[in-house]
Amino acid sequence: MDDLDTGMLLSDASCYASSSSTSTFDGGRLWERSPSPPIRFKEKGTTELLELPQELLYHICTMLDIPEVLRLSKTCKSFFQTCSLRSLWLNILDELDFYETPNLPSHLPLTSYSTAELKRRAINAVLISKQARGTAPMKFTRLDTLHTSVRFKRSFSIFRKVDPFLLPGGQRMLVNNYGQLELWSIGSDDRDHRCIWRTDSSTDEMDVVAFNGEVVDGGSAVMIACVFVDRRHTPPMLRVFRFDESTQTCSVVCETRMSVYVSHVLMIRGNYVLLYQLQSFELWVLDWTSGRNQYVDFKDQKNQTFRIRSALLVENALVVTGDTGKFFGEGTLQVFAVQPQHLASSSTQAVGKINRTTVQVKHTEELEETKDTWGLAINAFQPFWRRNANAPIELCVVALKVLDARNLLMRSYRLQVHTPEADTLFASSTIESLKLQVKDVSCAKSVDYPVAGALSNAALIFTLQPKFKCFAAFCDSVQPSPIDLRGDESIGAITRTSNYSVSIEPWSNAISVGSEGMVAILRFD
Amino acid sequence: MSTTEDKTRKVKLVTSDNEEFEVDWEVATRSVLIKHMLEDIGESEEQAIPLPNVTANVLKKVLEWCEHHRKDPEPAPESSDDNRKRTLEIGDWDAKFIQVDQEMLFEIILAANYLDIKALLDVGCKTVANMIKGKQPEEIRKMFNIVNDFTPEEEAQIKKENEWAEDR
Repeated sequence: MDDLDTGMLLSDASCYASSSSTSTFDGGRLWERSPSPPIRFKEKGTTELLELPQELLYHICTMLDIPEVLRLSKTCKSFFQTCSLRSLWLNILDELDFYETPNLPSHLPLTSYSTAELKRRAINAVLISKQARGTAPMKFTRLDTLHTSVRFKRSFSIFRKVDPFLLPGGQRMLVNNYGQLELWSIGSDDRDHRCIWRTDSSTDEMDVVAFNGEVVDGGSAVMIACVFVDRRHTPPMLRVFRFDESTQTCSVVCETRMSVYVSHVLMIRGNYVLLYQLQSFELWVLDWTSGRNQYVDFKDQKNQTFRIRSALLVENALVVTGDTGKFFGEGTLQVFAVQPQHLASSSTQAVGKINRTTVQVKHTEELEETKDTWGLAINAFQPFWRRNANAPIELCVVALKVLDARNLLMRSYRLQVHTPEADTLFASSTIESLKLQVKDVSCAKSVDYPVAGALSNAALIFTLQPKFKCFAAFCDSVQPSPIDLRGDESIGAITRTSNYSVSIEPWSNAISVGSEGMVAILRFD
Repeated sequence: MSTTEDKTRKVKLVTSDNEEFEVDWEVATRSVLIKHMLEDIGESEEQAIPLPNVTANVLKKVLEWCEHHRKDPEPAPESSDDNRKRTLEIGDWDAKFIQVDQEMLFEIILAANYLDIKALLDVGCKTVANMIKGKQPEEIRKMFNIVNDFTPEEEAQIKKENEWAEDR
């Protein structure tokens, strides 16, 4: 049986060759030695499992779940080898579902991870999902604490909080410390954390009131966007910085005075900066590479203007949720998506010096039963590790409905956004809304309010009050479930102070809690 | 290829142990290998196709499967969203069909791979996967006559590596 057509199955598993360098064993001992056939006592002519060629054993392994793969790898060297193949783990990652989204942020290509690391992340994704959706308390894996300079005595600060924001990858963190933005390097030990850049505090009259950041170029730079305001009510200033990791220097790449005071929800992704205010009717989009910017409002097919509840940038899409009700939250929630490059390049109607445009949205998705809801959390990401290069963007929206003081309904919606192929991006001159599709809807009873509006990629939200807990969307049990703090009192100590703020790093499910003089990072990965 | 003429056409197959099988074109061409061979030799000749990697008792079983699935639509191209291997289900007829001893099961898998019958290969491999499911390493070894060839040190190291995954 030696002349079997072995190329047949290998054609779609072309990563075989790269697997040998990635064993976590010392010196790859198990790899270098070819697997010696086990001694068997069998009748002549019978076929046994291990006599199947490796690509067939591999094919069997692709049909197993992670725990089964791990158990099988313990049986013998041959299966250990097959179960350690890079292509197998790429295949497992590919087939993880939305609720098991792995911690693989898009700024690093998959080739930069070792097979052992891919394996670890796949297993973690499943474990976190299982824990968060199970009944036992969720355990966090690491707690980092960093101490920022105490600035609360700066009584003239406009921004009076310590607001942390961990960046994907978990190694860089932005902290708005009473109006001064700091970039931190997070080490493996609490003694290693250090502040590597901060906004200029000599111009004390300017405070950062909104900020956002993104790791770009394979981790070699961090893009930072900040809105500065002063106490003289001059129009806010938006600055985009690029922090270069190799030189550890930061430079301003774009600076623009904003004509209208739009505050507080800011996002930077790729070439675009997005800014809007909750409940407002327009948002502001800037292409920082060209400086082109404009205010945009959205109308439905009946020409009614959307009141914006949330908006975010993800890959080639700007996703907006809003309603057309008379009062905030009154109407049914609708979701739509457009391409930001169309907004930045579309013909505009200049009013004074302000560029404005109205976009009539053709395709919106109505989220059922969302009247009178609030506490909206929204998150979107592109599952770039999937082999299907054009995998749709995953979008999750969570809305809360208050029944009474201790009874809430948590409604969760999972949608997919289909972005056009890259080469058709600029083909159309009109602004077409992107195709959305609702994939899953769920409703769970809740007894607490989530504090942070942010969602993890696997659709988890957290609360700090009255105790540290985790909400898991798309799960039938009563929400939230407790988190096992293992007697760690530092989180409890922070939440007993009144002035703290929280953020979630969606990729690694890490939660950052900032209070005067310190930031704590809890990781579940 | 799928004209009415093809449907009445018969194909001769010869196994490694020199047994000859005559089957309908539609049944034989479930195998992509046979289909391509038939295309190569052309329709005119009534030539028997040699299958040196398959014995008669295995081919008989494989043809039984092909006969039952002769009308199945062509498999969809790869990478469609629902092409998830882990969630693949075995149909009722296939489940009964594949209730054979281990040796025959592995022979069917080998034959399906050689003959390039993807759906049958999946049924066979999924059956082995289902046998592995829910079993401890020692049980898997016993079931498939696998000898533990790890040194105690290697075994300890694997255990240590997987510990954190099973621990949580």
